[in-house]
Amino acid sequence: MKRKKTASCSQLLLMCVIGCMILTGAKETQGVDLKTWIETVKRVGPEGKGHEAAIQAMSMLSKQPADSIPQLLEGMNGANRLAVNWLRSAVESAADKGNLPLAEIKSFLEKKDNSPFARRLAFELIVAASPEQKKAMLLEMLDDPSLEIRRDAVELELSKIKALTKQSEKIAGYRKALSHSREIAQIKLIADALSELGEKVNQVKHFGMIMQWHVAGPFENKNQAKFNQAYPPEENQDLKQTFTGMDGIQFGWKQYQSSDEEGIVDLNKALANHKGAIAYAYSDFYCDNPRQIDVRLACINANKVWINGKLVISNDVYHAGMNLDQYIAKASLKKGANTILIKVCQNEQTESWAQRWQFQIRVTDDTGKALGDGKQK
Amino acid sequence: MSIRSLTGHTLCFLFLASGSIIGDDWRQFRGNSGTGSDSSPKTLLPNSFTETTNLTWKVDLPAKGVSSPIVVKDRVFVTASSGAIQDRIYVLCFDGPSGKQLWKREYWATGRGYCHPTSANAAPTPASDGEFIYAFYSSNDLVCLDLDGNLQWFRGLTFDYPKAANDVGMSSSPIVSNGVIICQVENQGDSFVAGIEAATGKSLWKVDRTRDSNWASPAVVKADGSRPATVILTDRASVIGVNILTGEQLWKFQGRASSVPSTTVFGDIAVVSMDGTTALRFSADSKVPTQLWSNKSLLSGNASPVVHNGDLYIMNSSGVVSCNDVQTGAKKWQARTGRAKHWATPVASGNLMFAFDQGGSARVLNLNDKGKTVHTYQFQDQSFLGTPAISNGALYIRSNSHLFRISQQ
Repeated sequence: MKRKKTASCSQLLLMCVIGCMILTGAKETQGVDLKTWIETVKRVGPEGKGHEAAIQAMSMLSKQPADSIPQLLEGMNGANRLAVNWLRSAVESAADKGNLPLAEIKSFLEKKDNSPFARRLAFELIVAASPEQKKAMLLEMLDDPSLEIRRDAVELELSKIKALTKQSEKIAGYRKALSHSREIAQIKLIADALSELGEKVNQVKHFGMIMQWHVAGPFENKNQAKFNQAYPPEENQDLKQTFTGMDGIQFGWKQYQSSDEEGIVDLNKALANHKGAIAYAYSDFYCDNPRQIDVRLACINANKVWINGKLVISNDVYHAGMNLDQYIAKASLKKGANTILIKVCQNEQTESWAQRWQFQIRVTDDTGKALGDGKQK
Repeated sequence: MSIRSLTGHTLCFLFLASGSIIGDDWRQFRGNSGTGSDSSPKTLLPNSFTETTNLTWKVDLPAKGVSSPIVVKDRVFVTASSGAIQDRIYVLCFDGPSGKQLWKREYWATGRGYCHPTSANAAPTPASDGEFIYAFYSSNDLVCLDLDGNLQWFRGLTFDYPKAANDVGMSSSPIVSNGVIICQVENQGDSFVAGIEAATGKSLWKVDRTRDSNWASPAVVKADGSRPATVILTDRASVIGVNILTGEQLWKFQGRASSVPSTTVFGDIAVVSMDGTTALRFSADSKVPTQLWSNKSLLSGNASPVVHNGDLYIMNSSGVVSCNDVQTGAKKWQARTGRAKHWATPVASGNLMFAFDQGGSARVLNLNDKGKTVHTYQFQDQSFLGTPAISNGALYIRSNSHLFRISQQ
């Protein structure tokens, strides 16, 4: 295998530092160099960018004792998702050596502006070393910014409900858990538990599904060829406009309100069962103040989503699964009315499981909490 | 690259390139040879076992997975994944003889972990070159660790190819050969095969592939004369060969290929699940193979072809195993293994074949007696989707929740 024969200045500097460390012993200047190694690892990027230097730095980080863990956790702040995993491994290697500085790790965990990944790892280290602390910590973590920690805190709430005997207390317990839960599977379990107690959870409202739409279609999509064809609804959403679609079919925008309990908008119902076709769905979402949002789409068909005319989601994939929050994108809402346009492409597969032409979409904060129904007017 | 790592990777490459004996390791999906065969066992596997007999140990796994265990230097490596969206991924290492967990590493998936409930993000089987472990996941995360669990590098291929995903889950197992890791990532989005440098984790080459779902794994034919080591890749419509060092396409045959069973290479013969089953023969110095035979009635189900002691074994979708002459494709015999769904490829050792199914059943077939079933055992509350591994007289099989070691007691 050919190896890169040249190194950047920073790589040469790092090699010199590591060479000196090997000669002089790592511990003497550990604080200074730990920081250098961490920063080197944090520069890894796509396509293996920064790997040569990071591999050298990692070989030193893997040798660090457990008392380096607080600094390693600090290093995870601001790290990209790749570097987070590199540093996690350094923490685990250090933890394997024993004698964890638990007080410092706990102090790190308590600072909620630290990286959610690093805080979750801190939590796991504490629980592994002192399982008896888990319950007490989780009791205070129902609103934790780490969604993994929050999920465990909700699990604890749910386990407490099992010991209750009064139905009203159980319902209150589940309602409390529901208000804090952000994980879809957990929310559905809680909703089922409430349903068994005679309490119906309006999942459409809880998840913030957008149910009111104007739909237009079918436009032609033979051979899946029109994913990037901008049909007139992509130019403007004049709800009085009429179109000539596939096979010469004439149509205009049509109001459609989903009544599905999970918020699915079924285009086979809204329009008809077309194959090799494209539909557009248009809605608006009202916002009191400008803000950043998550747009969370589930769709079994190829799809595109525009928020206020800006493309935020695009997936040219057919019948490869549909899960709530399957595609998540960040977007900006302005004060007042905001537009949402969805393009949903159906192919020509004939299998029974390939007949679905549908989507679910919701608007949330970055934890997945619904922003309501957008006060649709 | 640290001195130690550089030395390790270099030695390992030289070691493999020289064709040295690599002991009783089982370093990748279907073993070192990629045939599913333990052809000359030093210690025979038992022809029967239960949860109380010839079961050396059974350990809990912290999460699910459908990947196979691999064995390197008597250490057993298993991948797993957990979470509602399968976003936590694991590499676990156990001591082979005792079952003691030696270390565990966890990471956050950087790509999409979505998959069918019966599958898992940890679907691809890890690979090893004897010094390092290369663990790959449906989320396109690729982790390189040494045998002691020290991270060498971590790649998230979704960063480079953000549409590389299949929400049913991908399962193609990587292979490592000639210092290159081959990752086959075929789906309706960014569909490709990548050659990744084992020493650094950097991309060497990428071949664009048909945008269609495919779960088959790559296979390698060794270099011979002027013929370079060749990666064999199938999709639904063709089989191609590419130079493992450059990604250059060397040849292509068109045909109707299956998207689940993987190609099996036995010496200079590649058995491909295309047009039923097709065998290709390679010769020294020639880059392009010739068709040896093709048999439309020889259809693999989900399990890949197995070549053991010169015979080709095909398991069809009904659980029927046939024994065929690998040189001609002529059928010798066939036997039924049960009607439950088989995702795991059977493995063979000595005169025995071991088949595990999704319903938790294990069957042992006597290959010297036309595949007669000599033992069946139903594991309680277990589901087997990963192919077993065989090493040093022990068979390792992972279920949805446990890892088992079966050996003579």
